[in-house]
Amino acid sequence: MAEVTSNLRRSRLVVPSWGQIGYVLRRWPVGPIVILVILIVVGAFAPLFAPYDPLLIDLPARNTPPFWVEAETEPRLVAQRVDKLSSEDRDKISLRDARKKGFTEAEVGDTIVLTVRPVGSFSHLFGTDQTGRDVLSRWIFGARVSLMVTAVSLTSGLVIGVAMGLIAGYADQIFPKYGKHLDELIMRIVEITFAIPTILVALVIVIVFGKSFFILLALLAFVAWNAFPRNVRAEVLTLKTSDYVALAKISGASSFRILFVHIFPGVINTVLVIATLRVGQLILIEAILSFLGAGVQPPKPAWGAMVADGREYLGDAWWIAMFPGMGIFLVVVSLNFLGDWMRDRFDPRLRQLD
Amino acid sequence: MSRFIIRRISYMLVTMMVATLLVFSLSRIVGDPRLLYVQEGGYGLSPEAWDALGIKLHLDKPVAVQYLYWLKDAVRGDLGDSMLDRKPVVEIMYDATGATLQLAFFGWMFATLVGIPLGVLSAVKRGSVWDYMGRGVALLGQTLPVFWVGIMGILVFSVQLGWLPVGTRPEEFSLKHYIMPAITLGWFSAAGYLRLTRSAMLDVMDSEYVKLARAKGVNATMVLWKHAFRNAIIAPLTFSSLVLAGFITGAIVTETVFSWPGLGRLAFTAVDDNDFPVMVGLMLLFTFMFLIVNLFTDILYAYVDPRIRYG
Repeated sequence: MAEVTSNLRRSRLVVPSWGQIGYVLRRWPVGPIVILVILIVVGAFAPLFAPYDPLLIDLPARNTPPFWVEAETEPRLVAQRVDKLSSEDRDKISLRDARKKGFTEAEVGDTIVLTVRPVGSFSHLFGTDQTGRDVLSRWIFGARVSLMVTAVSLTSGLVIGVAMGLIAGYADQIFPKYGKHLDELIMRIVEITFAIPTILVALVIVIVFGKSFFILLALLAFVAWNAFPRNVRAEVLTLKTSDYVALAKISGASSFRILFVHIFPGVINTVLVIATLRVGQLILIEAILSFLGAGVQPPKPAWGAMVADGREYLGDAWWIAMFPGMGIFLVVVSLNFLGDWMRDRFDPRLRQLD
Repeated sequence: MSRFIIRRISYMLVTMMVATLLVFSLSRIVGDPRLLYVQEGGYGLSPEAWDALGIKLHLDKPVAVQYLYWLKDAVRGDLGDSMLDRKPVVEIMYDATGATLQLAFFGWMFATLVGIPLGVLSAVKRGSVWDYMGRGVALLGQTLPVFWVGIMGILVFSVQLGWLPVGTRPEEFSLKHYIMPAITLGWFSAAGYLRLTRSAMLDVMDSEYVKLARAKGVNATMVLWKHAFRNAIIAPLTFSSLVLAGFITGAIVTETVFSWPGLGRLAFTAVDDNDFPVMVGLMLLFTFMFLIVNLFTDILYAYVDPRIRYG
């Protein structure tokens, strides 16, 4: 009898209860993963998802608000002096009203046109910018640019940084004579790069080499690399005293083989955690550089540059600056959660990082 | 202690040397450094000025000697003239420093006054509404892009509600103009202070001596402020160097957003105009400030916590 009930219970477990769903949600960073996967897919296949060409200028449709914005009930003044309109024009207002509304220099004879801001529609979900380009399409291509820049620079920074860490940690085995000094040198260089404000070095380099996409990639790789050596080195220092490394050495493996085949796999957890925590910073720095006009160059859409564009039109079209900023925020928040989760799970010792 | 200080100072000098070497080699990496002074399309420098610049930069000498001449000038405070209005770089930076320092002061006030109390509150009332609020403030501060915070602040509080001015520093002091820039600048650091204070407080509250103090019946306020807080505050103290690092990036962005006439905005316009001498000056100045603050933090930390001195 007891067996039967337990079987019944087990078969009922196939349908997850709310408690179980809650458990999975608490244990796994589902939200961040979903957001990141969606963004990566949308960014990677941007031409498929973007409803318009991100560079397509459509002046008549400029400053269209997002789809949920309805018509304003009260007309707003948009132009100061326009040619005379007919007297039966409904939008004509008295001189006193015009002065009251802020057109202090209005004179008799001037005609002030009142227009209603265009209504949002489903043809431009996120609205359009000051030249009528579709904000959603630019947002999607901006995600693509951010993803690409970060992926390339993180990979190159990671390779350099991890290699530096491995070499520093294992230098005394590879070069018995001057290994200690090499280790010391690498770690000093890392320490010094932490003491020089990165963003200013980046700006100097941009002035020297000009504003180009390649320079941006190189810069961000430079920003990314110094996160790795210290922790990778520490890891190598403990791993190299382990028994299996000693055995590999006895059986005649070369230093490079030991380093890359036997020690490197033990470092991967640490590297993954640091990389995830670093990506968010890279995206923020890319956005800041693009915002300052030193990163991705127009007309190529990038989130930071879009916010800078939108800044000029805040009064008329808040959505130009709003959506790209939310994009950056979403990505960075998701990466933060994911990184924290990975750290707790794979390498809790890295907690001291923050 | 004095050995510790000497070690930190020599480290600082080495770093400063590396910074100058870096900047100098960047200026020579393009070949003739005078090319950096020529605007796009080749205008901006007459042949006479070209030759004069060659003499001033000692281009007839070997590169190592050029560096020494350049370093000598830099140490004496001669970093050349800006390319735009031909004013000495040092003078331009001097004029802009005041605005930045004022902004940084208010930003730091905000970061400390919000971050540390909220961190303590968040730790003491762990799991309460206050804790969630504190953690929310910290999370947003660390993930919201600084420039976007500023722009959204302008949108909501200036354009739509009309409560605060759109930006820029007024001629006469008015606190209203400082509210948004200071919050924009300080939020990131407030988040850092908050997280550090919170975790340090949680650590200390869990320690044996706090438990003992409680057990022997010391009242809660005393335990909190005299036993726990005084030990927990060391961690946020060391955070100051990171605060400054955040402030340097933050100042460039915040001052650009609010058209604040300080060093950060100077960096923005220098990039815009390809003004190499100004940018070099700014980089050296910020690196120097960064190192000085680091030095003082280290010394203060070593003074407060003897384990560092002998470690």
